[in-house]
Amino acid sequence: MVKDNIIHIALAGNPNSGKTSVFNCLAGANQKVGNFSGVTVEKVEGTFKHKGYTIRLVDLPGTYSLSPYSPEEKVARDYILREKPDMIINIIDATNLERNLVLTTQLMDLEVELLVVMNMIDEVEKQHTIIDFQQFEKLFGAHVIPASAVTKQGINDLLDHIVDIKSGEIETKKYKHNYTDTVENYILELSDIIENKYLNEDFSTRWLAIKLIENDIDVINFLKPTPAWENLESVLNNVRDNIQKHHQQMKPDIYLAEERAAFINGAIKETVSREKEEAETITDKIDNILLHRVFGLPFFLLIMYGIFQLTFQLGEYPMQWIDQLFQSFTSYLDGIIPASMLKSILLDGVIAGVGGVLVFLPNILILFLCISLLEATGYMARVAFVIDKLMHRIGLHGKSFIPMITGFGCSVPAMMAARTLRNRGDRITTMMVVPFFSCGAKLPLYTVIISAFFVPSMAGNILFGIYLFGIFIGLLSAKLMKSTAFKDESEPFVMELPPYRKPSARSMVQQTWNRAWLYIKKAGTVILLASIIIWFASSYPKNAEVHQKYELNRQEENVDPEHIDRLEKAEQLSYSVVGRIGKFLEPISKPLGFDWRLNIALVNGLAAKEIVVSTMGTIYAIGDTESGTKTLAESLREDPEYSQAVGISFMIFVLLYIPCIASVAVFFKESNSKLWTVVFVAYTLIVAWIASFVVYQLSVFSGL
Amino acid sequence: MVSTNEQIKPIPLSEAVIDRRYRVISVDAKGAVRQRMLDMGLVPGICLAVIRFAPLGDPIEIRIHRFLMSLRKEEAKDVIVMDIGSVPHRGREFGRGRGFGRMRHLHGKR
Repeated sequence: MVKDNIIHIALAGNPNSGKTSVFNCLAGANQKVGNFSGVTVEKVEGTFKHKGYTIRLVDLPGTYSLSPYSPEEKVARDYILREKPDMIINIIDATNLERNLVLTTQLMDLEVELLVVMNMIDEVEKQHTIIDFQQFEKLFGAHVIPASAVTKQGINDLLDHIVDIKSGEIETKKYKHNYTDTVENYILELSDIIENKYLNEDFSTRWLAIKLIENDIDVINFLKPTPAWENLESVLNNVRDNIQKHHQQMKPDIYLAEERAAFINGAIKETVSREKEEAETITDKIDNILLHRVFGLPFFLLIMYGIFQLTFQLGEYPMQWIDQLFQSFTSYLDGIIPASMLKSILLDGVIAGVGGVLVFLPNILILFLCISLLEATGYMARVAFVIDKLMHRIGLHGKSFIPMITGFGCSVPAMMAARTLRNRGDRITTMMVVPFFSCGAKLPLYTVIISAFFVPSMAGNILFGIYLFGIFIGLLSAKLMKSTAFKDESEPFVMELPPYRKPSARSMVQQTWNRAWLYIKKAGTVILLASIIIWFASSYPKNAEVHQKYELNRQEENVDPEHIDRLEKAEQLSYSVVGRIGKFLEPISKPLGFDWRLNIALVNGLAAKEIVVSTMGTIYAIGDTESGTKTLAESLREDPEYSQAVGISFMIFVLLYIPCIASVAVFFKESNSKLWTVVFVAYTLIVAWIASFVVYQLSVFSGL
Repeated sequence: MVSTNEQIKPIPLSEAVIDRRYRVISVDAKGAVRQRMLDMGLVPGICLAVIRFAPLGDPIEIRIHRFLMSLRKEEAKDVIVMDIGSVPHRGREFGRGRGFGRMRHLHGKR
C-alpha cells in the first residue's frame, strides 16, 4: 500500500501570489522568486515527507484563470485539468483578495479537493486588517490556512492539514455554489446532458457546463464530437439567450464574471474588516517618483546605468585580488614543478583558462544581485509600464522588455521568460533579440578588452556604450521582424503592477549564490575541459622544421631550456590545429580586424561565451615567451597586431554573434521550429559580421 | 467637482482623467483581452480610480479594489466608464499606529 502514502499536490494561484515562496518553504527548495507576474514559467516538482506521508508537490506558473491567456498559463491549466492531482492548494495573496478569489471560485467550479492558503498574512496583519477565517470557510466551503512564506507562520499548520485531509481526519467540505439559483439551474441542466460516459477524459461536468455558458472555444471543440452535442447545442443556445435577455443584453461570460465578483465582494464584506486605508501607500509614494511623467524614463536609464557602473567599478577591486592570487599561484607552481608537458597543461591550459574566467566572479555576482533586486522589489513590472509605448512602436510589448533585462544576466532563463507573451510572433521576436542584450558571460571579455585598450576612467562608459549598442541593434532587429515576418500580430497590454516589497535578504543571497555556483561549476567542468582540449589543439601537431631549429638552439651553451621551450611553443602555435583553423578563417575575419588567434576564441565561444576569454588566456599563455608574468590584457595591449579598433570590433562581434549552444537549444525548444532556429543562428552571425565590419572600417578610417 | 446639473455621460476609459474615480458600465473588449480583463476583476459595476499615465502618455495605470493594473489606451477604449467623483484627498495620513494591541486575527483551533 505504498501508493496510499503518496499525496500528489499542485500549487495554483494568481501570478505573484507567492506560490514559489510557499513551494520553497514546503519542499526546502531554492526556486527563483520575484515580485512580478511570470517568474515561474514551467512546472517544478519537489518531493518531501511529512508524518509518514510522501508529498509530491508541483509548483505551477501563476494564472489569473482557467482560460489560459499565454503559454505559461496553459502549462498551469493543463496540469490541473489533465494530471488530476489529489489536491490543489490555492495560494492567494491575502492583501489582494478581490482579485485572487476569482481564480478560487473557478477552482471551486472544478469540484476538486481544494485547500486555500492565504499567503502574506503578515502583511495583512501589518495593515491591521482582520479576516474571519471561520466564516470564510463557511462561505467558500474550503479549508483556509493563513500563512506567510516570509515569516514561515502557518507552514506547519498547512502540512498537518494536508496529511489530515488525506488520512480522513478532517472531512472535506462540500463547496457552496456561488452563482444565483437561476444560473445554478442552467448549469445543472447542461451538465446533466454532458454526462461523463460520453467523454474520453474525466472532467467535472459542472465545470464543462460553466465553460459552455461562457462560450469557451476549447471546451466547445472538446464536446463537439460527442453524441451529446446535438442536444447540448440547442439547450446551450437557449440558456445563453435567456441570460442575455434577462440581463440587459449582457454577454453570458460577462454576466458570470459579474456574479462571481458579486459573490466575492459579498464574502469579503462579511469576513474582512479593514481599517481605513492610508490614502497614499508607500507604493504610491515610490511610484510618484519612479513613474513620474517627466522623470520616469530618465530614472529608468539612470538605474540601468548605475547597474553597469557598479558592476564594473565595484567589481574591479575583488577582481584584482583574485587575479593577483592566480598570478602568484602560477609563479609559485612555476617555481616548484619541473618543466614538463603536465606543467604546461596546468599553467598554460587550466590556470590560464579556468582562472581567466573565475577572475570575473565578482562582476557576475554584482550584476546578478542587481537584476535580482529589480525583480524582487517590483520595479520590473514598472519597466514594462514605462517602456511600453516605445516597445509598442517597435511592434512589441512592454512585457517583452522583462526577458530582455533578464537577458543581461543569462539568455537561457530570459528566453524562457518570453513565455509570458501571448502570441508566437512576439515570443519568437523577443527570443531572437534577447542575445543582443549582452549576457553576463560576455562581460569578462569586455573587461579584458577594455582594460587592454582603454584608460580606466573610460572603462564604465565604454562598457555602457557596448550594452547600449546591443540594445539598439536588438530593438532595430525587433522592428525589422515585426514589420516583416510577424506583421499583423499584436499583443494587448493588460498587466498588474505589484506593490513594492522589501526583498528578503536571504532569498537575494540565495539567488545570487545559485548563479555564482552555476558559474563556478561551469568553470570547473565545461571550461576546464575546454581549456585542456584547447591546450592540446594549440600544441599539436608540431612542425618538424621549426622543431629542428629549436633543437639546434638547445645544443648551445648557456641557454635556459625552459625558455627555449616557450619560444618554440609560441612559434609552433600557428602550425597547430587551432592555428590552422584560425588561419583558415582569416580571409573572412581580416576585414573585421581579427587575426587567427581571435578567430579561435570566437569558434570556441560557441560552446559558452566565457570560453572566449579562457581560450584567449590559454593561447596567449602558450604564445607568451615568458612564463606567467603577464595578464591577458597586458599581452593584448603589447601585441602589435591589435589596436583599439580591433578591440572595439571584437567586442561588438562577441556581443552580437551566435549565442552559446545552450541558448540556441532553448531557442529551438521554445520556438519549436527548425526554420526559425536556423534563421536565428544565421541572423546573429550576419548582423555581427556587418556591425563589426562597419565599426572596424570606420575606426581605422578615422585613425584609431 | 462635477456639478450636479451637468449631464454625466459614459465615456471610454481611454478618455478618463487622472485622480478621478469611475464606475465600469460595460466591457466591450473581445476575445482573450476581454477574458483577461474579467479575470483581473474589471467587470461591470466595479469602481476604479485612474492613477496616472506612463511617462510616454500610454499605458494608463488604474486601481481596482486594492491592486494596480495597467492597460493601453487601445484596450481601455473598449471599457466604458462613468465619472463618479474625485479620488479622496491624497497625502493625508490615516490611522498610523491605530489598532495597536487589537486581536490580530480570529483564526482559532478547529
